[in-house]
Amino acid sequence: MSSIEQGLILMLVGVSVVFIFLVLLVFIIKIMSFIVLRYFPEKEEPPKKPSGGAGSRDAEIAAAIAAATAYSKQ
Amino acid sequence: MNIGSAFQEFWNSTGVMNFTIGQVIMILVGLVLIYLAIAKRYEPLLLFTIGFGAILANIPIAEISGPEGFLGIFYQAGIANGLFPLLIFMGVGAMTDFGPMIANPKTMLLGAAAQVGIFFALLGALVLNMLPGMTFSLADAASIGIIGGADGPTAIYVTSQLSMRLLGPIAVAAYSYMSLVPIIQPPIIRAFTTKKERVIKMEQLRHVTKLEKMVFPIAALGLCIILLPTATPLIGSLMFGNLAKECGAVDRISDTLQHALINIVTIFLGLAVGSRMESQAFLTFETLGILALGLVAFAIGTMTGLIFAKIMNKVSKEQINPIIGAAGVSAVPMAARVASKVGQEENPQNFLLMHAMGPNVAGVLGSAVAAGILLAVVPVIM
Repeated sequence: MSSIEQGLILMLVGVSVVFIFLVLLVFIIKIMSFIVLRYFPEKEEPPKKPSGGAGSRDAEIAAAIAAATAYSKQ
Repeated sequence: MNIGSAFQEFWNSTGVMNFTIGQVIMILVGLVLIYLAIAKRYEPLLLFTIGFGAILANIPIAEISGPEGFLGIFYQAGIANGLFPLLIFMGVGAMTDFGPMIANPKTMLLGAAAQVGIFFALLGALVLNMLPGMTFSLADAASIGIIGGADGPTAIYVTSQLSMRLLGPIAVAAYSYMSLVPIIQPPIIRAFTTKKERVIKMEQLRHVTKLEKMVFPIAALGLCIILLPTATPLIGSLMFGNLAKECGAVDRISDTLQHALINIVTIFLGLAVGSRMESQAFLTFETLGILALGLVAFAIGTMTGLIFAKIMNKVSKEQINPIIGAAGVSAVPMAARVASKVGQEENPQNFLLMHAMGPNVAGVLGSAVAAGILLAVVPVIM
């Protein structure tokens, strides 16, 4: 068997296995997403709390900056 | 020994007396790589370190890349055994967001379509054997083809396992073409798509929950374990990093993988790859063939990704802008940025970046799978 024939075989096998792998992965992701979204939906609350915390700290910093600017302008 | 002969001995040990032409040329090549990294910002982290490694490797007498030299030690420690590319993959995993891919899984097929370039270049290498001065074995051809995966670590990993002697040229070709994505891809995109296709707007992607992102790495690794164990070193490292990032419980590990570890390993990997650019191994006709085939692999991968995306656009219910097919050739995130830029030139209201990230990260998986196939099949049929 010539090396070019081997190359052609490798090409056929390679391209098909890459496709098979990713097609299977598409199905797995679809099934996984379906189950997760249906039975373990994300609660809306948790992400808001930390962002609220960060927000209030930002507000404190803003207040501190404002106070400092006002003080330096005196 | 008198003073005269001592000076004679010293003179005989200077660089001037011991340079070969090849070494001078390779030092110039190293300087060009450093120039491209600094002035043009082409993959600077890698081309800079590889370029400097090439200079060090071609110094006469010092034997820096020999088994006792410090670059030789780096090489033995992490390239010869495939360790460094895997460590890089952990970092890549910790930096990758598979969200856009999970939101629209069918775009993953574009990441598969774009891998055709790998196998085309493999075939091309075997055809080039007809030219004088080229003697590529099947293992060499497989390593050259993987340049088309547009993924540096994968290319180095495969080459280190199959065809060590070509490591220098293959690594340089892989990283050069990755950095040239913004130049190589846009003309191909315009040639293979119509204006009407390029202005297609895509619907916004749905929100992906944290749990989905956490289950995904396990599921993908599971599939890999069942179907293709030879790809698990690559996919396993990638998913290790990704789960560390997504789970939120091991932020210290995730942080180290994303920054400290990947930076340190990049230094070692770049210098060690540079050390393989010794003149006698690099200045051959085969190197020219490898550079040409790498470009072919890249261009064909881009093309097949685009063509597959056009077909998907015709077949599927929702519209798919074929430009995102070009992002299937991994080269994360450069290829996705290029797709998004070309899309925006056609239609300023069009935001393709997130849509292109899906095929883009799928391309990383696709080239790792292709690498696994080559590693599984090539040693057996040779």
